[in-house]
Amino acid sequence: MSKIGTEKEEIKKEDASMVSFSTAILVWMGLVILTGLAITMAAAIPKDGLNLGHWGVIAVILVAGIQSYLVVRFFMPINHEDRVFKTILSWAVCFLIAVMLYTLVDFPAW
Amino acid sequence: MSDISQAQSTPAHLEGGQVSGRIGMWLFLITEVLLFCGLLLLYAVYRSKFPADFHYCTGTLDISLGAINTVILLTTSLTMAIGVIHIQKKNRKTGAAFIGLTMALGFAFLVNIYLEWSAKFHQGLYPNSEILQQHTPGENIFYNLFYLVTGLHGLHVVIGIIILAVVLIGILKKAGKTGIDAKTLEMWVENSGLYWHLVTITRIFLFPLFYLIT
Repeated sequence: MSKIGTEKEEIKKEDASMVSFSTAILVWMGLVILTGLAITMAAAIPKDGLNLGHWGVIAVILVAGIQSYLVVRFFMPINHEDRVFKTILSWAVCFLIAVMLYTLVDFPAW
Repeated sequence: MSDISQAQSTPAHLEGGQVSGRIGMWLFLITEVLLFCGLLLLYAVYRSKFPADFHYCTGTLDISLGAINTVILLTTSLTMAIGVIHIQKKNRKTGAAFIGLTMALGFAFLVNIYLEWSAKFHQGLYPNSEILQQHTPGENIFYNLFYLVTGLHGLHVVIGIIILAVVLIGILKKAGKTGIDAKTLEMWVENSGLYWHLVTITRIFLFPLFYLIT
């Protein structure tokens, strides 16, 4: 009886690890819309008097970050990896961002 | 009890060796992220040193072609994800079709890169050209970085297409003939999908940095 229960749990987990087709298409649409948004923001900066300065750069990179998150979260389903591994990966990304920020602080002309 | 705890700690569709294969793939992807982050950091530093030159050079790049290329790669991520889903659901032929579509779109991306580069080459703006050497140091650095980063990214796309071709052959042949069991083939497909999505993520950052930020 307990073996059947374990097998049912495994099948449920297997289904859970698969992203649905509709989710994948919605994520793709979101990615394309965000790309359009980034282009619009970049085009608006010099032309329409929208002087965002450094914030314009940050906004565009933020959009890229959101797009990357969507790809990692839904297309490379990181949620279904081992918790220890997810923690290691998160720390690696945080360390990388910290190194990049510390380097960029030395070049404030941005 | 121990079966339940193992099921909770390991993705259910993977077994021992496949888990290590997946982790190995992620670790490799992290090294690839380090590679591209280093190059993009280099771009950022030089941009801060030559802001006017980089601003001018960004304006010479074709935003529409860059945007089309970015959307193409985003679409390849979708087709790759759908292909992986089909393989996980044991729909081999449909999965193979979507992986084939991913390869075709990847090839279209490379054709666009070729068009973009050849336009610049036609203007005499290629590394170590006489025309480029007459430009300012900042412009030289911009174009060299442009070719380096987009070229390296294009090389990754080529490698990704080759990997997908190998995986596609494995899918289309019957498991008995290749000696590859279904679980291993599924792992190949998932790992090649991970690699392909990283290529897309690289483009997601590359596009705004080179084409949009002025």
